[in-house]
Amino acid sequence: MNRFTRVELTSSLRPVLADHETVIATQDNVGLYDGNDKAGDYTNGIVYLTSHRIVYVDAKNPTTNSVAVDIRLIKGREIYTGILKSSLKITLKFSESSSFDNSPSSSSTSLSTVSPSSWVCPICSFKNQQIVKCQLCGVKKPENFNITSSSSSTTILKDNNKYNSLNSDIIENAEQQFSTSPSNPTDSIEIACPSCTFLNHPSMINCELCDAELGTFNMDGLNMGNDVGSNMEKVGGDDRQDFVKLSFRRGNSTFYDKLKMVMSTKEWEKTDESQVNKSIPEFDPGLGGISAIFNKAEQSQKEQDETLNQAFKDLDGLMTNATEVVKLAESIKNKISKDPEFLADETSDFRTYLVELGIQNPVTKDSAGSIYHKELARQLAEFLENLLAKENGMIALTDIYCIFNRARGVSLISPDDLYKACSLFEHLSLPMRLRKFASGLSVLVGSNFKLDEQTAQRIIDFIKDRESLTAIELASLAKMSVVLAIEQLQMVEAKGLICRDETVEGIRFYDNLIINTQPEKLFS
Amino acid sequence: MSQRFEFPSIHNFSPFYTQQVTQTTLQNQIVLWSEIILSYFRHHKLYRLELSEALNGELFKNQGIKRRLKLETLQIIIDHMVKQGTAEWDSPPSKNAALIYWRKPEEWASLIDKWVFDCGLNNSIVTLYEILHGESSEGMEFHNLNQTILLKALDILVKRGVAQLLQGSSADDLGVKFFGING
Repeated sequence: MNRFTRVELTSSLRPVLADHETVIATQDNVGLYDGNDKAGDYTNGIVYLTSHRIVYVDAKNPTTNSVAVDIRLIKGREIYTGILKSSLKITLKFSESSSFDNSPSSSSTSLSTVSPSSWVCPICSFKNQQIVKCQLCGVKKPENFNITSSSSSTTILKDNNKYNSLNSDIIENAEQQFSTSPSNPTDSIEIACPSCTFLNHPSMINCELCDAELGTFNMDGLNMGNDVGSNMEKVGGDDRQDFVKLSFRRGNSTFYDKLKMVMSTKEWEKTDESQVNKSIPEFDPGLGGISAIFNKAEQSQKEQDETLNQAFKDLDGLMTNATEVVKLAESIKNKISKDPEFLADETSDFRTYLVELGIQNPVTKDSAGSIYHKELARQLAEFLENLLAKENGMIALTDIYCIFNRARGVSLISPDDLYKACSLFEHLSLPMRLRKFASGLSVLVGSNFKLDEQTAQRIIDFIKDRESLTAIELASLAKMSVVLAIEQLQMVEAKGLICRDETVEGIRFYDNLIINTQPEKLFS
Repeated sequence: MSQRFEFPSIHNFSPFYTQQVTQTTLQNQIVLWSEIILSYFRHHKLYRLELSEALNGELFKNQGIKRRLKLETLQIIIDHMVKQGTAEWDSPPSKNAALIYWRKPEEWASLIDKWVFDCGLNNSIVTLYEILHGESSEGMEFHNLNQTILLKALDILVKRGVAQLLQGSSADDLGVKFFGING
């Protein structure tokens, strides 16, 4: 548990992702177990599997109780498909990174193939995955199995050797481990039972005849711990078990499959490599000075062209290259914002296009699963925050659909998904609301905008300036869509603040002199 | 015609000619229009409103801002005036013409009653023509009054028991006998 670190959350309570990090899967209703015990503050939340981390966001106190762990620290994993009331659990095992630095190849392979927390039942010799009791005969796991060493790897080794497990894999791995250790425990003599003096096989803990404890186990275990522990000294003070369980009260093993995939692809190594590659400049003694700069510029332009060409060749290409295209857009955006000469109108338009093209980690049905709409709503809220302020706190749903899908670039969402996500805003207490006008037009409204008064005041100001106003004029003045302008004008009209003049040319809105003229003062 | 009718400023306000959709605005619009109609009719001593014809007149058509009231809107306005007792559809249920009561029939009745008394016409028979166009009624407000309105006013007097309608040889030849106070 101590490997978990506090995570930063976005305003909509999703984890802030690092560069190159992508969300692979999401699951709600997950609890954390520290070792075998429930972790008090982390009993119910959403777990995000990203390419780099596993992030837990607490449902109750997301800001304080949200933690994450780097996947590269996870050395072993195990799945327990729940039966009846007990839920599906994934166990994540950590081992001291320092110990693996010493002997990386042998231990990492052995740990990923062997399930470290498995134990062999003293009664039936069944190799168990379940933690508390034997899966085959239901006998409780003997207490002395939880020996004091915190490293799970030592536990397995002991188990394997003690019980001559049938699993040849395990034996093999164990032997590999012990090839360096001086004494091989299988050679030791038979053990006499302290109660009935029966000579027991050295791998027994309890007497075969009278079931009395042989008493050798603890001693032996400790000795072995010391033997093996020579390269695991750092484990020392921490006497907690070095694994964490994720308990899935809902959902299936797809999360586990994805985790498996992430752990095998090792995305974090890739990005490290690419950064390393980039940081080493190519040195060509034949080039230098201005020509080198020109060359470099030309080269990068070629690369960008290549990217774009490949991206638009076919749809699959687009999908795979989407991240690069988005990256390119971001880099151009950065360049423009740095360069003061680019502040002209055209480029600011251009920049808004680029801003709109910029969701690096689109939430998909694939990655979010059952909480797809909730996650989509959160991402949408993040995306729209700036946009809403720019649009005076109100955007038509149709516009959002276009902008949002353009920003995603790939894995577009359906109008239905968008609508469902938007209707969840209130439930998730995100700062915007879906609002439906009488005409059926749905808009998204920032809840911190005092919309009615602000809109009304703005429209009245416009009308005072120019005497009358049409919806199209308002749309171009306030830079909003015409449907929305019509809605706003009608809303203000319904308040009796403006009145309409309907002609063949369309409807013009005027300051409401009709209601402001008293019939008694009509002729005065 | 006497001097020009001075339209209020709202008459030059283009939205005034569009039937407003907001109820509160529409209500005030109707009231303002009925006030203007009554004033205009009083000013020009008009009694009968032919709706489709009037829509081309200066009252409902503003050449300056190129706006004209719609027939439906005018009908709504007259409907409102009927409710207020300041107008009456001429031949309901059709809504093509209306009598505009810038004075209500009761007021006309009182005016005529007073005039009869002032002129000492009690207990004598007067023809309708004399009331409307006769020399003795000249200068009175009901001079040139619409005949239908006059009949309504006289009806009221008959009901009060101060007058009696006398049928002449033709419909135009109606006479009326006013009784004295002690009748």
